[in-house]
Amino acid sequence: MSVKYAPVLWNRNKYLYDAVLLAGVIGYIYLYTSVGPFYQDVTRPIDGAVLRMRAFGSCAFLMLTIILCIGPLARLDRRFLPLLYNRRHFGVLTAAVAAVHANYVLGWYFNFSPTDRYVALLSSNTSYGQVLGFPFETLGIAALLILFILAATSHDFWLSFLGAPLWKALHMLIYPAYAFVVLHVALGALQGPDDPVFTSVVAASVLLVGGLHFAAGRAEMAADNYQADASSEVEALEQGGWIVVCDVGEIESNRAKVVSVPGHDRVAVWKYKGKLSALSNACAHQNGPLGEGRIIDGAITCPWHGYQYQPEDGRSPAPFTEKISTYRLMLVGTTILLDPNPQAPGTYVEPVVIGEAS
Amino acid sequence: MKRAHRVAHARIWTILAFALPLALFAVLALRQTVPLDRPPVLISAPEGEAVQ
Repeated sequence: MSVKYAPVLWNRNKYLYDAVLLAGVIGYIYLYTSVGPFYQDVTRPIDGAVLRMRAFGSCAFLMLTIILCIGPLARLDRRFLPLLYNRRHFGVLTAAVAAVHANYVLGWYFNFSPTDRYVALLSSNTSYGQVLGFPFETLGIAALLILFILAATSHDFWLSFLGAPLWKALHMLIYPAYAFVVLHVALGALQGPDDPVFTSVVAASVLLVGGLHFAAGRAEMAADNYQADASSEVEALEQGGWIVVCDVGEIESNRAKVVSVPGHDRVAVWKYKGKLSALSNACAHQNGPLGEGRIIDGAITCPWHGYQYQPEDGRSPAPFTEKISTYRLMLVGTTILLDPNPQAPGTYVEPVVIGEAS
Repeated sequence: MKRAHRVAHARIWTILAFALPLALFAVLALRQTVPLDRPPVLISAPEGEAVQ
């Protein structure tokens, strides 16, 4: 098996995204290390190395929080979609910031250990049987390893090489990594002297990330249930296995209606130029939700990274070669019906002309 | 039907959205604080002498 190497295609948006990202990280570290000492306990002055260790550690934690909020925010409100565009660079930078934090920890706490500092890191505390005093460093190491693996495999080459399902499953390791980081902080930094600000930040992060994912999941579930109810209400219109999508007026022009098809992947039904076409809702690039995108210059455009497909045959415009499954549609009155059996990816399906129904 | 990764995603976050705040607040509740009447300097008994 061989996979063609596709170089990173830089554009203005990526430069801008990365510039804002870098400026944010540099600004945060600068503020933390320059303003932080004014708020410290004068009876327990903090060494410069410890201050930088905390600056990079808290920065990595906040970056991870933002990364995990982007997904559900984009699902709940399209205005957050631009944040999703270059999220992988965000992740790679987070791994780098976390690595600097780990380097300060090793240099400060274990550099003068009689044993090798890496051995000392893992063997200085082995009280795994207790909650308080648990070797929280291990949780940080586990999270850092996951961040490294995700950063190393973030390039599209690995997406092509591993295939979207495996790549996606691998990158869902970010969720346990976040849990490890929260416990690493709770059992480590938050067990020290009282720090109401950082404690509040960690608690807010956990509630925000968990709450947003839960809300996005509920919204998706509600959409699925609505589909099922609508199907049962108009059961009389179903013919030979076709399923009811919606009324043609419910779809905005150049937008799609996403349909939950029992036993199959989701399907996006597109309305454009007085016609209707149905394609798989999953982008061939990263399984992005195509139905949440729109038609730009006559091509369906994925909201995540801008991959495009022709609505009639699900093929990317030349010279690109991606293709996705197409579906047959029928219009009865103003009701759109869908054949849930997918056509082979790239198969041309004659669009349904809306005519006076629209 | 959702794709497999969306199903897994929903399951993971249904658990994490409840378990993670619970774990965090449990650890914070267990946190040990120093007694308010502690001496300003930690006094340890000289070696070889009994502690009263």
